[in-house]
Amino acid sequence: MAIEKGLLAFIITAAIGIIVLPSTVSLFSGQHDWYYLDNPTSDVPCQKCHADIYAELNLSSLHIKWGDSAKADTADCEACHRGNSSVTYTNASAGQPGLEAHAATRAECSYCHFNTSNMWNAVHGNLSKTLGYDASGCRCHNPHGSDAYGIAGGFGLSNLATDTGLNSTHFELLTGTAFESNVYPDESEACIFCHADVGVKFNFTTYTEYSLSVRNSVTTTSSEWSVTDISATNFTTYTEVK
Amino acid sequence: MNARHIFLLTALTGALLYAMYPSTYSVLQNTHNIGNVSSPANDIPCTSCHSKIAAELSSSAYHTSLSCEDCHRNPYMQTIAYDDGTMFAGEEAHAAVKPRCLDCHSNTSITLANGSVIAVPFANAFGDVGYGSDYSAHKKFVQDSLNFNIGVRENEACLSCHTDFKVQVRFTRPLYYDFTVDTSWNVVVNSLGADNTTTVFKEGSGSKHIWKPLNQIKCEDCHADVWNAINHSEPSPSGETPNSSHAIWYWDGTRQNPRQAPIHNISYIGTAYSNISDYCLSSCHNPTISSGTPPPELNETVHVGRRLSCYSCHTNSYTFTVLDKTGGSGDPAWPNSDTGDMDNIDVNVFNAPLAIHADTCISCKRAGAPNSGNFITYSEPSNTVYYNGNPV
Repeated sequence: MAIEKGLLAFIITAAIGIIVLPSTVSLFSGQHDWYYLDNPTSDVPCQKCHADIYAELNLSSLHIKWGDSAKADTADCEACHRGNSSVTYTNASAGQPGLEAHAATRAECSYCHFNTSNMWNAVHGNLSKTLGYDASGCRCHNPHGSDAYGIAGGFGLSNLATDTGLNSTHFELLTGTAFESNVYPDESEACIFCHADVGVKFNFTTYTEYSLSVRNSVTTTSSEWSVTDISATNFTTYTEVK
Repeated sequence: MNARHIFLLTALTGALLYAMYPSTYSVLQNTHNIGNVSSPANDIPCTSCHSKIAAELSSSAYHTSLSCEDCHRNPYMQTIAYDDGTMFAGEEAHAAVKPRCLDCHSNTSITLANGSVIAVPFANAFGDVGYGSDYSAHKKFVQDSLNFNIGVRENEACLSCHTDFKVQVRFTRPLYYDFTVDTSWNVVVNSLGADNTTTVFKEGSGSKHIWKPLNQIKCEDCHADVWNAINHSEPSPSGETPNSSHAIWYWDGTRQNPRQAPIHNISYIGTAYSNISDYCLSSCHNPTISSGTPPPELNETVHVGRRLSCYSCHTNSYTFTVLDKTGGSGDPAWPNSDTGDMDNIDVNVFNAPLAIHADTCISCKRAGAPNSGNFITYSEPSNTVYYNGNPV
């Protein structure tokens, strides 16, 4: 009985400790050690708060080529999340307060991948420190030597002249996520569904029947059948889990 | 385990979850490990989101040896986004195209996504430029499908017959045809009944990825109304024909003509005719020509069924014989010597709508082969016929 009571006390203490201890410790540690952002070579490490994302990105062979191309780092974060040329991000070393955004913006896949002029040339917030500056703004590297690489053609949404998207099966997925969902910006959900390892549960509602209306147009001298309507009917819903 | 232990475990688990939750649950979770799609093959498995389609395809009679990519991501057909050492942004489609059946079946061979070449069945007539002969019964269906965008191009027509997809067809036609055959064997349409619509349901699993064996495509699935008008073994009200069918099996009536071969006799279905579709095709809509030169509607290459008239066979304008599965080959019952008997009705009838050509044969025989008179024939699915106001 005494052992059980001891065990009970230990577990309760451990449970409370798990909840309370981190915030208690942080209350006294590190919060007055400010990052010195006036130095162009220093920056707020994104992975401090987004370690899980950092870990994921580190497993990816794509999107880590900025900065140290062998691993994920802040430069990679900036490429997507501080790379929108229409946004002025906060940059202390340049004396620039943020306007449309402070630290980062949500990334739209299409920002780079529907735009050949931006592909590998995305302007990294104009004031990116980690990536440095040049006269025309901070340009991405062009590690693949081809601006066409990575353009998501076939939806009729990129600026490639040959991108008609006339026969694309997943176009509705893009438009649906662009206009009906706001989990990610624009149609980025659709991109991620396929191109990332994210779990996806689809509830497909689809038709299982053609409904045809056909008419025999008969006169006193001729007759001819024609199909006057074809509709999708008999809808059913099923679930797919990726 | 008593209540205290349960409480302890709950408390500990709750505390652990509370501590770990923020780092394990994130709206961004698993979104930053972007898959590398640069290998020559398709790096994004279609079936991870489309397992149902894969399961359906495994039940199909055809296309099971193909990959998803052969139809939906075939760089030899359309330009999708792919990488075979050179990066290609998609053009017509990004991940996958909506394939057109005739992309493959207007050819005798195709190149698969992996570059290998295979032979494919050519879709007779429909694979030709302009879908081939106008005598294909379903050519209009194929052409009209172009006006609708549920499927790609004419795919609705292909899929309706060749897959286990469900089809509902509302056939609208005049309720009846009122016509007169005069003493010169001219056929004159007097009036038409109001529109009558009959709905036919072709049942199925509803899958477009289960292709049916060709011998399981049944005419009566979509043409149950026509089959209903034909499938009557009871004697006609007049007693002039041994049945009330919309396809006269045979007729000898009171005339001196020898009894005709029973090529249209439905009682041979299951013996001479393997099934209803074989009956439909072999006895009427695609008979085998045994010898001679038939008219074009019996000679041109068509896709399965022919759009023709009774008088395409039963004419003395051409000399040929037809394979009668019930009794060998024979002249299609319009002997050349008959020219003085019915004059040129086999020619004159083409001034009347094709819809009533069969009705002229059926109603005339049901009435006992009068030399002239007024007929009212009800359209499918009915088999009712009137001659001069009396049911026959």
